[in-house]
Amino acid sequence: METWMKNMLRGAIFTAVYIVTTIVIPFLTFSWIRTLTVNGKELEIYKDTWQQILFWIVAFGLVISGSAFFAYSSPKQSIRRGIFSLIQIILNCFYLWSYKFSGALEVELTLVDIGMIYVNLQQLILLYLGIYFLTVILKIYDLVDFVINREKIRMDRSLG
Amino acid sequence: MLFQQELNPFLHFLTDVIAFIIEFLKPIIIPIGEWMVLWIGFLLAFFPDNNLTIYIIIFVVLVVSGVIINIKYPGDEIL
Repeated sequence: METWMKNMLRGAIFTAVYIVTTIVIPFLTFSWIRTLTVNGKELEIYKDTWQQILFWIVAFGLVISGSAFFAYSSPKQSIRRGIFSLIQIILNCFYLWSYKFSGALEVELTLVDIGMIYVNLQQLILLYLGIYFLTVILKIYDLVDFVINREKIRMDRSLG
Repeated sequence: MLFQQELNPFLHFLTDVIAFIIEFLKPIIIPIGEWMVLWIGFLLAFFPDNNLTIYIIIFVVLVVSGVIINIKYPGDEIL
């Protein structure tokens, strides 16, 4: 198979994976949570913020999937792959924090005839973003490595 | 009660280890997370929140430009 065909196929596969993980699975999860019943009682979570949650999931899911296609259809260890992988990681941070804007991090459980519980998940995402920062550093390191060793990488690729 | 059942001892140990690591890293990770949230929150304000069209256009542009550039330069020859 030609190199460009392999690249396109890899790009398409990873795009499909990212569409499933950033759009389909969150959509199904939030749909399930929204209609959750416990012991016959509806929890009524995300009743008012459902449209907003869906919007941000689809919006950032599309952008992340598009950048995934560009990154994974690029040659391995190429500078453009390094750049778009870094962009993708940063977009993932936006995607995570957009859950805050959509109201998905403020969970209000209305137990019919019983009362209301309010759970704030912002600290959890904050912790996750702190850890995610390390991934950003790694991607920057990769990009610097690809730029500095550009000729060697090209030589290895053409010989390999 | 929701999910109130006896945990597997191994899983219990695993969660304890993860909790210990997170508690240990918390003083470093939380300030970094707060800084990340600052600039992410600032930049997110510029993203349109009522129109999906622009995000669809960005997706199409990324895919089309990816196809064109990576077919033209597949990276299998020394330039």
